[in-house]
Amino acid sequence: MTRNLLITGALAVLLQVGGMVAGLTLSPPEQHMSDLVRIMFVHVPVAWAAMATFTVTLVAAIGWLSTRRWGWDHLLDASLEVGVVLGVLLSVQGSVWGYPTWGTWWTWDPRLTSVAVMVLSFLGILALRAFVDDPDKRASWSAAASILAWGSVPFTYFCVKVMNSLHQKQTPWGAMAPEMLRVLLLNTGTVTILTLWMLVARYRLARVELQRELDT
Amino acid sequence: MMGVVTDPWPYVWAAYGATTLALGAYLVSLWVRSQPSGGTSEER
Amino acid sequence: MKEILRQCTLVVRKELLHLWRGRARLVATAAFAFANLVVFSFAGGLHSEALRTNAAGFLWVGILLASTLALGESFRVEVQNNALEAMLLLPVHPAAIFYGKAIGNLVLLTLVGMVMIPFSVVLFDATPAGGLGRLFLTIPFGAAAISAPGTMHAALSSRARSRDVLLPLLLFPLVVPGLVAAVQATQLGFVGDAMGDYGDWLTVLAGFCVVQWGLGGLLFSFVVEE
Repeated sequence: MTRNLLITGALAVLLQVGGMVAGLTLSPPEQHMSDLVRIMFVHVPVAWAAMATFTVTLVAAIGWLSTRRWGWDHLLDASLEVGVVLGVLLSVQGSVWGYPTWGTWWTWDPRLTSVAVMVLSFLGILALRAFVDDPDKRASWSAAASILAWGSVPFTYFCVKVMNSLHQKQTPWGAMAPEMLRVLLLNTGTVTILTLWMLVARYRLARVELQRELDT
Repeated sequence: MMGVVTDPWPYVWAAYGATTLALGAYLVSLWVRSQPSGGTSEER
Repeated sequence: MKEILRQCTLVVRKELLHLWRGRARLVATAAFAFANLVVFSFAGGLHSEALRTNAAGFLWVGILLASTLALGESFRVEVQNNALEAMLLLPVHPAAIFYGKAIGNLVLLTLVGMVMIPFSVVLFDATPAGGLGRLFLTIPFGAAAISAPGTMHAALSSRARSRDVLLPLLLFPLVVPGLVAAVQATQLGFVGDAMGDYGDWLTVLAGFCVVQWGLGGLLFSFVVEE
């Protein structure tokens, strides 16, 4: 890891810690959800970051298939892995929030299910990447599989939505107390920065790994 | 809105703990893998 | 376009011929699906009520598990004999190969699924209150929802290491929406369709098939090219 990357990484981590401390202390408890609302300050930003990362995967997949530039494959590799990490974290946070508010750890809610399906699909594609030795094929195959996985997301969402829905409606920004909104925005910023950093670091790692593979 | 619990703090800590753990572990794994040996034992 | 269609018909004919000559494969797949149903009927315990309520789910999970065998097998032959490369050299358009093989798998899975219907009626004691027509009509749609992404991923995993682990790992999450819709539609065939929802679920299922069959045809060339 280069020095610049290390320094920016340390900064991103510090910012994130600051955001979380603010979430635990600065915001007042909410009147209906009491202190549980604090989970939202880490849950909602991670949800946004996970969605954004999943979308990056789709863009990278299309990018590779249409240009064959290795940068797209590195980005695909990076976003698959970061997406899985964020998606798993998102599901755990959701569970921890779900139990005290809905009385259940897991429920077949459209958003929950879509994220779970996406994470599982990406996990499968990461496994595929691990089991294919030819870099060219690995790139094309995982790009094709990523696009296919994306084709299934809207249907997952819709199917489960029709079956049942419990998940909270998104609170409109205006309806939130300004102290809370500020903390939420702060955390959205810090999580976004950290995610970007992880993508950059993983991208570079992918580049180094490919180089190493081609050398041997 | 409060369903089955009276004390929300354990859940808050669990959520923040999980976040710290997951992101922390991933950052460490990124760091380990970007060491020259690649974090694997196949060092030449 | 016309040429692709012609090639596709040829591949389908080859697949069907292959299916007929390898009837043993068909029988083995059906036997495996049947074994699944039997296992489910035990796993559900002795409560016949629970079995009846979940009959549609058991039926489709049984078909899905059996499909991994059939799909993996359908590409093993091609890879072993380098037949895929040979076809591409002829040259057969990749989309024609994809649709040909996907239709072949669709036929196989449809046959297996239809054979499983009477078994699940008996094993799960689920009298088809919604009519056998709904049950049989759902099978080809559900089979199509599995066969297109299944053909795609079988093509991938058959040429990777540890392919037997890889195929279900890639395929199962992908077919979740297809499975949900197929199970809901089949369930209406078992318990009766009081609200008239059957058509809606079939439409969702058909929509999923259209997207997966479309994407498959577009992407297959990237998967098989050398």
